[in-house]
Amino acid sequence: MSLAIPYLFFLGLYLLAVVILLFFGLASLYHLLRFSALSPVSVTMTFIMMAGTAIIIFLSYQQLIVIDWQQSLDLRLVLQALNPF
Amino acid sequence: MFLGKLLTHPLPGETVEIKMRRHWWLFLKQFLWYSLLLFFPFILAIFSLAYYPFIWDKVFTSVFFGTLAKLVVSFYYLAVWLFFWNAWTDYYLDIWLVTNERILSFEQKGLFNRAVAELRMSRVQDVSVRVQGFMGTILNYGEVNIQTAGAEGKFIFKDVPQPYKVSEKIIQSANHWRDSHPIGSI
Repeated sequence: MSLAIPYLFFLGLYLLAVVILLFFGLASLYHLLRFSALSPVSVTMTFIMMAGTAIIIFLSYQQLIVIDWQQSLDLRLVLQALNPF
Repeated sequence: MFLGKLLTHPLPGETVEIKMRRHWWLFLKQFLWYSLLLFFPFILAIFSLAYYPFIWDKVFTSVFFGTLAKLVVSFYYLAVWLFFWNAWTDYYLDIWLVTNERILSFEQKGLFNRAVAELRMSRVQDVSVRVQGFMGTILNYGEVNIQTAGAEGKFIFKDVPQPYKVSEKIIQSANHWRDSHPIGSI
C-alpha cells in the first residue's frame, strides 16, 4: 500500500491559509479607507503595512518557487526520519 | 482637524472640543508583544540549535522538512504582520469626540463590528474618573464614566489620556449647554 502525499497538498493548505490571512488584511484596509480620516499617520501606516505584506509575500515566493512541488512525501520515510533511535 | 468621516452630520453651530483615542501606551504594549513574536522564531532556532541539534540535521538534510519549515515560517510572519496591522487599525479607529452639543463614541470591535454611539449634552448627569494600575497612574490614563439620564445608563471612555481634564471639560460643556438652553426654552 502506498503512503504518499504529494507536496502540492501542503502548498494548497498553505495558499488557503494565506488567502484567509489576506482577507483579514483587506478587511482592515477597508475599515481604514471607510472610517479613517486621510491623515499623514493613516497614510504612512497603511503604506508600511502594505509594503511589509508585499515584502513577506515576495520573499516567500522566492523561497517556494525553487521547490519541486511534483514530489511526493513517503510517510514511511518520515516516520523513519522522526525516529531518534 | 479633518472630521468629515466622523462628524458626517454636524448640528448647527457644533464645534469639536476634544478628540481622543486610547492612550499610546496601550498600543505600545501591543507593539512590543508583536515585536517579540517577530523574534520568536530566532529565539526558538538558537535554543533548539543549542539543545536539540538533531532537529536541525533533519530540517537541513530532509527535503520535506525543509519545505515544511519554509511554509510554516512564511505563514507565521505573514500572520504576525497582518494581526499587528489589525491591532493598529483597531487602536486607530477607536475615537471619542466631545463637541459643544454632544459626545460621540466610535469603537471598532474586531474586524466586522463597529459601534457608534451618541450622547446629547442635555442627558449628561454625572461624570466620574477611574485611574487604576501602576502605568495608568504614572502615564495618567484611565476611564471616564458618564452617567446619563436615559435608560442606556453609562457612557464609557476607556483608557483615555488625561481623564481628569477630559471629565472637567465634559462637565464644563454640559453646564454651558444647560446655561445656553434654559428649561422651557427648548
